[in-house]
Amino acid sequence: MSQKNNCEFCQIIGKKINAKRIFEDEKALAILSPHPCCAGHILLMPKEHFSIIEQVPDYLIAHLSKITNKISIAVFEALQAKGTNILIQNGITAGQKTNHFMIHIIPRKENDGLDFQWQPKQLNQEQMSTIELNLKEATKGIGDFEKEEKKPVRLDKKIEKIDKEENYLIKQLNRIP
Amino acid sequence: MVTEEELANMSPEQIQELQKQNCIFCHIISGKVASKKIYEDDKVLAILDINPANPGHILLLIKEHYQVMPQIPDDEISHIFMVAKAISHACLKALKAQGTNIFIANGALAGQKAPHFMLHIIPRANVDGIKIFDLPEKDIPDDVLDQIRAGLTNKINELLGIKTEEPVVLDKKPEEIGTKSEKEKHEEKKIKEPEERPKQEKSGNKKEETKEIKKREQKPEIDLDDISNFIIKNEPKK
Repeated sequence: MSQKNNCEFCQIIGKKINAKRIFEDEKALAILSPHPCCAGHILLMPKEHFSIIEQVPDYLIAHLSKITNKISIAVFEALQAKGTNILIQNGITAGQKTNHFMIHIIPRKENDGLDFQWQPKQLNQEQMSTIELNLKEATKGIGDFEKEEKKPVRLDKKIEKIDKEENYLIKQLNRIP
Repeated sequence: MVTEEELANMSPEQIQELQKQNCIFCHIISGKVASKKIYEDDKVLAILDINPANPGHILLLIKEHYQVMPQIPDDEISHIFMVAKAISHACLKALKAQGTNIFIANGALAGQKAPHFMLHIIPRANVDGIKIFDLPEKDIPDDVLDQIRAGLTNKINELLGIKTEEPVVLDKKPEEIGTKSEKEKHEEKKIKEPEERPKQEKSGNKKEETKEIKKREQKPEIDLDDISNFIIKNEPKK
């Protein structure tokens, strides 16, 4: 709780602090960054307090990513940006400065002074293979994504039932010589 | 190679096909070019970057050839981000990374180097020497920000608002209602909403708009007009 109370962005969401809001729905809020790295730097955040991406449910990630895309399109059209960068900083080591998970949407223009180019590091074949094996092992379970619980679940079940019934009917039919 | 004249006579589909043929990442996806694959499903492929910013730098590719993000349909965008979350978690677990950066460059000016959309996942360590993802802070005058805010809000509302007025869906709706049995009609909203859900997943090309609109319809408490009114009302006074 205390983490939530101290969070600058939870207070912005709760309207205790003023911010320049550009999009809002019941799950997400997008504002112009109070600490911008360039004109038009946008922060998109879930309204619920999460610190890192691992805590954010999959369906919320899906929702946020769709809005990210829409905002990115709007940035291209409304601000005449020549490009956009989407950035998630996950952990203090990765540059995260606040305790609230957010997606940065950064409009890019010529000579804007920003630079996201990295120096490639040289790794030998053995190092690459070790990383490959370790990661492959760890990504085996991917694919079962968490869905949002829908309020009326009854009908979903109903549909399943119908499917089963049909299958049963088909099976019965198949038995006929 | 193709001459400019030939290019001018090509249909958009042919041009796209040509781009695919020349795209190194499309070759990696089809298996013509070897790569270190980390994860693969029907929509995306994750490989190790051969010029990594850090050990374990992963490129997450959409199998379909898109150049930039605005071309990508909603379902693929949400899928790639959910996979990115899972891979980011795998980096923390398997590589003992202390953080991750998830990064997208849209456009050459933003640092995009290949004409195939990709999402970078970069595992981070305390002393890796990467400074580029520490965002600088700049002083930007308040009136400039207000102008930007107004422009963006209008555009976002327009992007989402136009879709709510799409006639296609209005035409479609009575059909959907018509297919329901009398009993279901009586059961009203509770039934009506989820009934539409499985259908929209199956509907092919229109899925992008319909999903968006139905999302709006399912959440009656949120109205775009309300949001913009709300924003105008809450504008800080000087």
